[in-house]
Amino acid sequence: MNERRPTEHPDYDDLELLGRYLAGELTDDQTAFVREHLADCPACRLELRRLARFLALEQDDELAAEAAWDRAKPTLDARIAACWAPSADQADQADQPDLARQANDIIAPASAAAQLGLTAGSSRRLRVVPRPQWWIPVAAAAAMTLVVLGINRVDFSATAPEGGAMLPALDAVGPLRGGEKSTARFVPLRPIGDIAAKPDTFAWHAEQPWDRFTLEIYTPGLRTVYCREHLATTHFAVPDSLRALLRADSTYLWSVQGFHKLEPVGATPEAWFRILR
Amino acid sequence: MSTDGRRESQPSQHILAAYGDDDLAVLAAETRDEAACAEIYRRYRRRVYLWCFRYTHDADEAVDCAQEVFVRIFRGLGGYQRGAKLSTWVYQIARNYCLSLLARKSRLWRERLQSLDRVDLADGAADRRRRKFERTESLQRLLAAAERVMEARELEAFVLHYRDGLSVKEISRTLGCDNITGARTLIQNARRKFRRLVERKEFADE
Repeated sequence: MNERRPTEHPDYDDLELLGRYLAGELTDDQTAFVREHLADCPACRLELRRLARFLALEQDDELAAEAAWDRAKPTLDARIAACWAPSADQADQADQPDLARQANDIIAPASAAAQLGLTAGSSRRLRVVPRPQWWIPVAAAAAMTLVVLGINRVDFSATAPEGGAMLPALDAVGPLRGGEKSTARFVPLRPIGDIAAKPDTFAWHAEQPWDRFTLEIYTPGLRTVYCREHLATTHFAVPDSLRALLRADSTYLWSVQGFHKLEPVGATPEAWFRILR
Repeated sequence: MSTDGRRESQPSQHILAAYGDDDLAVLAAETRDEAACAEIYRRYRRRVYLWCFRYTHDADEAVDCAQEVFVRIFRGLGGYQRGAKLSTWVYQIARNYCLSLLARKSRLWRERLQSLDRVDLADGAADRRRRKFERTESLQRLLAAAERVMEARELEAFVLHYRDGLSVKEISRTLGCDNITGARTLIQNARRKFRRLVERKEFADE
């Protein structure tokens, strides 16, 4: 354990030692060594506090209430369960998929399933590729039918832009990603979707408390186009400098983060807009 | 825990519940068995979720974050070393993931550090120093400089608040302050010292 600054992380062996120190599993000599080191090393002191805090979270009912753990638990359980799929020998006996399971498959980030490269030694394996299901071709056929029937009635101004191929999450839920969040207290108002000309104003709704906002506009590739901090109102008049940066027929994302006394108190879901000309 | 005949000898969930943390981790690492992984998940889901919430300040984002942490835990089981503490290992993965998440949200840092610097810098030289400070992107350097002027606990509060983005209440809990006022005082002192540091010519001109 060499001395480090608080911004540096102890390596794993150090952490292991700290974990055993907290658990009281070290010999007297090791304990004395760790104590001596802690007296001189701010990084390990901070790491010890962090680790102790992590372990204590199991009993922290106050934070659990703040974090709505009871509400989040079923969602997280379903997400983790969706990472697993019945193995081939069970596939034939699998029950018909229930809607909740399907919904969780869709909500779960694709990376969660795709990144899992493990196979299990027992009856189920971690999901690597979604198992083909009988309802997929049926749903695809139904969707195609709806498209064919409704193609003349669709208002294309309300559909996602072509660049939306890069934004599957946006496409899935409409113009707002995360609009389904029950905890969202910050809502983008305009511009959203296809707009005829460059926007004059950005506007959003925010519930108190807040004292300032940061507006950020970026490309679907997450390159920041414009960032404005310390805004004290829930709208922002577009200056000429920003107008010059925005290009017609391009898709942009934007979001606003609210602060109250230095604390981030919320953020709008990402909204997209595309300037038609 | 023989690994021979693994499929036939998988312990059931209620037996797994009686396993010690470290035995459970060894079983999961050797067999990659779903039931063993599920038991690890069951034991650590609350801690991992709350840990993520401390960083995201949002329940939905914390669920996303916790899911990614568990994906990394399950994927990383092959690298779990027999004899290591499972709780420390899980903590390390959760901590690293949350900090990498923060790094991607670097604009929070920009916002917070700039808000520190509200001193009136009217003259040209001071303004140049201020601009230089704002251009400084190396947080490591800023914090290394902060370490020279702050008390140990002030620096801890400063790092937790400005790098980890934790709330004052959460810092109060992490540092074991008697109340939230104690943590706020630490942060305010640290901030005042940091602001003085920023105003110093030797730092700004480094």
